[in-house]
Amino acid sequence: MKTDLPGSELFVAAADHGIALLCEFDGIVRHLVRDELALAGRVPPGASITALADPGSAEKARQFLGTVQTQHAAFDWEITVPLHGALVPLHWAGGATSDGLLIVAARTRHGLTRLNEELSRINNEQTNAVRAITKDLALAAARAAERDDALYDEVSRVNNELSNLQRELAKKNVELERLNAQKNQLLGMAAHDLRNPLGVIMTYAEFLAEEAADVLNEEQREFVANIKESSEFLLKMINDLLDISAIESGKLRLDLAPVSLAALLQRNIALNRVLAEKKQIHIELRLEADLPALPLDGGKIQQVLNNFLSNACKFSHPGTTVEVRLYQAGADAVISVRDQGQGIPAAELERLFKPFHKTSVRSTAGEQSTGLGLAIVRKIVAGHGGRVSVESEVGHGSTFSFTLPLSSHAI
Amino acid sequence: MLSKTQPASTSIPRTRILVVDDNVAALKGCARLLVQAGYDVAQAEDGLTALALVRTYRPALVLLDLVLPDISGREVLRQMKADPDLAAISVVLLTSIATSLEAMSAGLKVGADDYIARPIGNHELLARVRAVLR
Repeated sequence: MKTDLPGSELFVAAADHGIALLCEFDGIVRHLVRDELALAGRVPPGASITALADPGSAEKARQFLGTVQTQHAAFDWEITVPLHGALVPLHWAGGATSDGLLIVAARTRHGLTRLNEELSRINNEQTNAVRAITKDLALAAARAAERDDALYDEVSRVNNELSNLQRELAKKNVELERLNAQKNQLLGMAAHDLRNPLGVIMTYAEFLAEEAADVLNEEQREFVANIKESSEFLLKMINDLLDISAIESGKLRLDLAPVSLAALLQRNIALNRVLAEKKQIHIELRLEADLPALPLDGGKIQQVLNNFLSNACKFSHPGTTVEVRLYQAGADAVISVRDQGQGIPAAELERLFKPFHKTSVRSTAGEQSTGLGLAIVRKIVAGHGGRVSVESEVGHGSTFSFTLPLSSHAI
Repeated sequence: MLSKTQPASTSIPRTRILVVDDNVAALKGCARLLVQAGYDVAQAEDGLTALALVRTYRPALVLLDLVLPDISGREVLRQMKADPDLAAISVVLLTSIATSLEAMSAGLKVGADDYIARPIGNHELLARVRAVLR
């Protein structure tokens, strides 16, 4: 057994220096092949290879040895070794040969590869015997190093790309927020500026309708009625737009005060009944639960009810009934409005509560919709901590419901 | 900037209302409605004319648009309430900003009697005016 010890001449702790040893199967050092790190003192022949490790890392070294013994190879374990007064993590690799174990440790993974390559070139008995395994190790190490390099490059490329995207996204977000604020501001302004001339149209159309009725013929009276009706619809639309822009810019303010839902329903339905009966639609109210007064914005909840009821009438035929129920379901008060109208196709139900969505179902008397009512309703109900829902069957009618939490904690 | 619409016939003194609005069509429409309802009406298209008229015309009520070309309706209101001679005159603010709750509460704090969000139907406007004058 001949030993080749180039490292013993002059110790230079080059970055990729390492140590190579041949051991018995039980890990007892048989022979030091290379000692570039001047570590021979820690592992003289007869000592265990685990003695090379810092006592704090002895357990890991034993696990490493166990892996080499059972799996015949272990590659790139990081185990700390005391090196000239400092604890230095070394990359360890090991392989089983026909008559023992070859253990290599180096400061860098590259050093590990280099040592393996050098060992495989040394022409002696031991290295011949371990050439195959060192070659495998070297290959594995080279591949791993390459893979690591490629991975590193890939990771940093992806990282760069991600942070670029993130910057871009942040920029776009700021831009979007600005545009959205601008949109809401514009909506609010436009709506405000539209209301003034609209008010003038409505005032004078009313003058005409009331004062010129005698001098106008029937067709002309209809003209005036059309002006009035259209300006009223325009006003409704502008008000909805104002509502939506206020809500979307986070200005949904709820003026909460204890409200009896039953009393609110009775009042609201008395008002809506007058309108419904013009279309020969009967509104029925069923108060099925005796609920305490809840902290609500009464005006806003009336707006929700008005919307549900006017929709129910809009899409129902004369002679039908709209049923309004107030009941309790778990921790919620539920108000439902069921009509015997045309129903809504299932495919449209999901989008129904989104702004500007209009159903394909035609109103029964040509009533118009702004497409904003249900979107506003949803926001108002959500603001109270409740939920809106709809069930519908084409040809049989629809049921719109909303919940309000009975416990004020949910608000 | 000042015009007066005299009622058709006057035997008993009619309640005087000053309408202030820079939108002439709206101003005339509102004045016409009030005259027909039996009020004596003066009109102003800007804030300074309104302040001058308040002193000479001595209305019982001022319908005051918030947005005016010279000084704001709120400033007209403030000056009126700061003058002991004018403070007792009722003021109803007119605006087309329906959702501006802050503007409303701010106006009411300075001493407005009511607040009308326009557009408003003719009948409703008259009802609100009557309610304030009652």
